[in-house]
Amino acid sequence: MRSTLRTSSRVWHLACIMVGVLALLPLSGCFYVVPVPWADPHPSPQKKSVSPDPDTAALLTATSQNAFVVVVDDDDTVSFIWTLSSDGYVGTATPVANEGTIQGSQVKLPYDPNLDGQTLTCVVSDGLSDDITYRWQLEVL
Amino acid sequence: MISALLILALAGCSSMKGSFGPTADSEAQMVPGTLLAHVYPGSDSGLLPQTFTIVPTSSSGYGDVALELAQTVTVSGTLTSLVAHPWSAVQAPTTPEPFAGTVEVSLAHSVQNAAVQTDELGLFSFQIPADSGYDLFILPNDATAVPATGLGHQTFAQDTDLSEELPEGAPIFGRVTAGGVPVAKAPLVLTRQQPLPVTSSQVFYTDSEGWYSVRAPSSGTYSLAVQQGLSGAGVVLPAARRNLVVNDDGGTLDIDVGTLSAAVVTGTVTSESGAPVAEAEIRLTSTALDGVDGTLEVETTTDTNGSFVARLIPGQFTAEILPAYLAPYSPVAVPVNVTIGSTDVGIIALRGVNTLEGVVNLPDGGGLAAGVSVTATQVGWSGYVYTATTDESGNYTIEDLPTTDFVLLCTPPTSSGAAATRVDLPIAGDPSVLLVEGTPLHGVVQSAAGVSPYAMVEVHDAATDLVLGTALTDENGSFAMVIDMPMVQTDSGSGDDTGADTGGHDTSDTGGTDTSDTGGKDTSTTDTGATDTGATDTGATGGV
Repeated sequence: MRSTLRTSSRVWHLACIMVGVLALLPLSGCFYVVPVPWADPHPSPQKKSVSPDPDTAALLTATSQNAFVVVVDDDDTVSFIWTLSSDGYVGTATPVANEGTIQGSQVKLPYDPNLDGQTLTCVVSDGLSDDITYRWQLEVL
Repeated sequence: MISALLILALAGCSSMKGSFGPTADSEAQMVPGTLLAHVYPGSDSGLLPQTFTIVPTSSSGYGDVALELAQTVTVSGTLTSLVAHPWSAVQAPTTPEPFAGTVEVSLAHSVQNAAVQTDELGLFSFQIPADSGYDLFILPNDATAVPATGLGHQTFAQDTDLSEELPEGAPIFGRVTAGGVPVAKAPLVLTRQQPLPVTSSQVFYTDSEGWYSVRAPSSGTYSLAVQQGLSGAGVVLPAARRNLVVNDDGGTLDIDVGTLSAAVVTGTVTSESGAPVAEAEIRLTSTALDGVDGTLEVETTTDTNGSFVARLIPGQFTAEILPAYLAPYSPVAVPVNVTIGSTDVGIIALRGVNTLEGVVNLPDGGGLAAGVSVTATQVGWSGYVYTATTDESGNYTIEDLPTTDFVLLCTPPTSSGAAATRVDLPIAGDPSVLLVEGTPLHGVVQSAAGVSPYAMVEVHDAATDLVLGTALTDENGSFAMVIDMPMVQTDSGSGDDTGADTGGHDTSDTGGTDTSDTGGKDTSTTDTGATDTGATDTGATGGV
C-alpha cells in the first residue's frame, strides 16, 4: 500500500512540472513551434457534365445510339478508363477536348443482349489526385 | 385512336413542318455539305441529347450556328390490349387486359430516343426532347398474343398522355422444320417491312411440334426470321428469313431450314512464342452451310489455356480471333471447314503488336502540327480505338497497336485553322498525315433556360455519317471546331433557302426551295441568305 502511494505521488509531481514548463515556455517567448508543413492536395478533376445520369439505369435498345459522355476540368492531362463489369476494357472510347482545360470522353455501346445487367464504369484520373468514378447500370430492352 | 392519329399524320404530312422522316427520298435531296450535330448536354441540366441538321449558308461555310435544345417532355399513359391467346385466335378477344411489354420511341438519324417497360397495370412513362417525326414502337412481351405496333411521324411537343387500347391484330400461323423434322423451341421474330416504320416483334418460340402463332398489327409485307439458337433437340439452329404478305385475315408461312447435324469445333490460340492467349474472342461466321438455307454466327472465348469450343453445324466458316483490348496481340481470320462431329482447327498463333510513329503536318507547308489529337480506329475486327497527341515537333507515337488497317482522325487545335482530317492507314501504310484546310464551324448551344455549358457536340457528315469533328462548349455555351467540309456543289446566294428543313423548331422558314430533311432539328444562323430563325415552333402539328 505504501509503495503504491509513493509511486503515484511521484508521477503526479512529474506531470505537474511538465505542464508548468510547457505553459511557461511559450510565455517566455523562447519557445518556437515549427509549423507543421501542410501541402495542398493536388486538385482532382472537376466534373463538368455527365450524360446520361449515372444514378439511373441506362437502357440499351436496338433503335438507340447508346452514348455515354463524361466531361471534366483539369489542368493536367486526364485519362478516362472505361470498363464493363464482365467484359473488361471498352476499347472504343474516343476523346474530346477544347483548347482549354476542359476534357471529355465518349463511349458508344452497341445493342447487345449480353450487356444486360452489366455495369459500365468510367474512371477519370489525372494520375496525381483522387480518381473520380462514374457508373451506369445497363439494362437491355 | 393511335390508328386515327397515324392516318392523320400521314395525311397531314405535307402541312406538318418538321416531318423528320429518315427516308431515302429526303436523303436523295440532301443539300451537299449538310451536317448532323449530336449534342450531349450534361444530365444536370435536365435536357436530353438531341440532334440538329446544319446546312451550309454558302459554299464556304455555315455562319454562326445556334443549336437550340428543346425542352424535355414526358410521355406517359396506360396501355391495354385485347389478348388473343394462341390457338384460339379465331375467337375474337373481347376483354382488354393491361399491356405488358416495352414502349420505345426514336427519331431516325438522331440520338433522341427512349424506352421503358410497362408495369403490371400497363402504365408507362418516359422523357424525350420535344420534337416531331418520332417513331413509336409498342412491343408486347408475348408476340403470340398481342401484335407489335409501330407508328411513325409522332409529335411530342409537350407532356403527352398516350393511353390507348391496342387492337388484337391478325394471326399468322406456321411450322418450323429442319429437313422435315419439326423444330421445337425455335426462336422467331416477325418484322413488318411495309408499311413503315419497320417494326420487329419480341422473340417468340415454336411449340413442341414446331408450330408457331404470332399476331400482325395490320396487313402488309412482313418477314419472319428464325433466330439462331439451340433447337429442342440440342442442335444449333441457323438464322433464316422468309417473306410473306399478310392480309386483313392474317397469313400462314412454313419454314424449313434444311437438315441439321451436330458439329463441334475446338482449337487453341497462342502467341507466336506458343504462350496461351486467354480471353480472346472467337467469332465464327458461316460463308456456306451444308444443305441448310441460312446463316450462323457463333461467338466463344478462349479459356486460361487458350482453348476454345464452339457448337456449330457443318459448313464453311470464317473464324476471327479477336484479342482483348490492350492485349499485345493482333487479330487474325482463318477459314474453317466444319464437318459432322468434331473438327479441331489446331493451334492458331497470333502475331504481336507494333508501335506506330508518325508526324502530322499543317496544310500548305505550314510546318509541323503540335497538339493534334490522333485517334486510330481499327477498321473491322473489334473496332478498337487508340489515341495519342502530337508533341511540339508534330510527332505522335501509339504503342501496342495491332497489325490491322486503321482510320486516323487527326484533330488539330482550332487555332491552327486546319480541319480534323481523316486518313486511311492500311497495314504498313505511311503514318504521316497532312492536315487539310478547314471550314470553321462555330456557334452556341442553348435552351430556353440559357446557354448550355460543357455539352459535347459531335458533328457528322449527314450523307456518310462519318464523324467530322467534336467539341465541347465552354462556360458560355460556345463551341468551335474546324471541319473538312463535305463537298458543296454550289450555293447561288440568291436568297433561296436551300438549307432549311422546316423542322419543329422553325417559325419563319419563308425560303424558296427546302430540299433537306435529314432527321434532326434545324439550326439558325446569322447568314442573311437564310430566313430560318431557329426559334421554337410551338405550333407543331399533331400531338398524341
